[in-house]
Amino acid sequence: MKSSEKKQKAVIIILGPSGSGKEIQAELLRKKFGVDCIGSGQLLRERGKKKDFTGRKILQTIDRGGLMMTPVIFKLWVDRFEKLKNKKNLKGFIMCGCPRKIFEARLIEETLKWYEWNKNVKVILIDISPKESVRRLTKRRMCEKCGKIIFYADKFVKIKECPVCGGEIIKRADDTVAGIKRRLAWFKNDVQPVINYYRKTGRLIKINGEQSIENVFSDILKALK
Amino acid sequence: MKPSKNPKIIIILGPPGSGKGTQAQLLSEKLDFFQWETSSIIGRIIEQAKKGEFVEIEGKKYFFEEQEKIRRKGLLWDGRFIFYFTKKKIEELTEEGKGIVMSGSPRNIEEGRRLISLLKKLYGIKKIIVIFLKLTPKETLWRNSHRRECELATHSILYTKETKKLKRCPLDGSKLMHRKDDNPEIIKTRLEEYRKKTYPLLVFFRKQGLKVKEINGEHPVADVFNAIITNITY
Repeated sequence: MKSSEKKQKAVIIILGPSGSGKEIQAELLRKKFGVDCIGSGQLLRERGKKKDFTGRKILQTIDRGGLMMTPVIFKLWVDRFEKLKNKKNLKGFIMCGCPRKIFEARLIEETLKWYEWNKNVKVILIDISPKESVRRLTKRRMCEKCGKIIFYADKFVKIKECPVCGGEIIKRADDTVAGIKRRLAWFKNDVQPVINYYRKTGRLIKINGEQSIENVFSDILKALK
Repeated sequence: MKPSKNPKIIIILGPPGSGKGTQAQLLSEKLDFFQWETSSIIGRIIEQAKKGEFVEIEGKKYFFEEQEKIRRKGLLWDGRFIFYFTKKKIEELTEEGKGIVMSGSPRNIEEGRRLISLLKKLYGIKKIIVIFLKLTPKETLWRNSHRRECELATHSILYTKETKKLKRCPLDGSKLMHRKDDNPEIIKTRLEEYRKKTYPLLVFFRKQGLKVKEINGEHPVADVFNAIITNITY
């Protein structure tokens, strides 16, 4: 990241199917470089606090587990980009788990161009097979209180309390075989075209996600150099 | 006490081992606040400085290479040097509209005075909340000599029946280690430092008219977290 800073701010987009470990890698990158991470979920929850029409509707949509309309997310992204643009010592930022559709990818492309951040975009795909995704997600457990995920669920089956906050460790309601299959199908239909798009434009960095978090992270660091 | 409405900064004060860092991390995730760590904020600036680069503060030149040496020796930076970058970073975060949660600073009255006067100017007194986590010295000693941290993401792992035999972090699989400053002798020194220099901040904060909420830090992390959250509306 250091050498690229001189050119333009680095924008790192992290993509990967459910269970690929996007969040933990984003957390590690954030800690390592001290940069912001923009996730749609966070922005939407934030916006949901405003008790106006859109705020209420966002919360309803989240509760129902429905998909968010692109213009709504987009407004939030642009506002956030504007804030980042004003930042004096901006080093770059991370976008985790978005864009989710080819339509969003094109919009992001144009927006990054507008903000003059389009020259140093790196897209990291943490690649795991659908089989591995199912294997991980059917076992996955997380803390009810702080949301931390027990990553190697099969190695830590005895853990009932969150090792960080002591909260109860639960299974996510949509981590069922049917729920996982639905998410994988969505990934194939909607996100795969996004991946293809970044591959064609020569910005895709594929990382083998079927190894330890440490090794995935060191592969990412090597790829970013 | 009424909950604090949309605070811009949460300062967590408490002895070593009271769970300040853990609560700060949980709060920063829940509220999307910036988790303040003086050492890493200044550390990053020093690492990225070019050869011979310095800052001039109140007529004195601080060369980054020298500050790096100070850090490597485990010595403390000068208060003015710290505050220079503290102020800069806080102003940046304010511009972005981002809230802050602090857990390891301020460490003494001098730092507290500078910080509070800046925060009052930027946010006003009502946007500052201080959480005081109470813990006995005995408990500090026990907790800190038992707790471990993981190598990769520095997750702080509680010492429980479930975790005591683990060799690796359940959240990222990296090695679990004791912190270097968690041996009994160093813990005692840190406790003494805390008692003499940091604890008096509590009285100082109250005198400044800040809202201070005392919470028993001996309770489970999740309970302490709930107790903090009920004091904040957002």
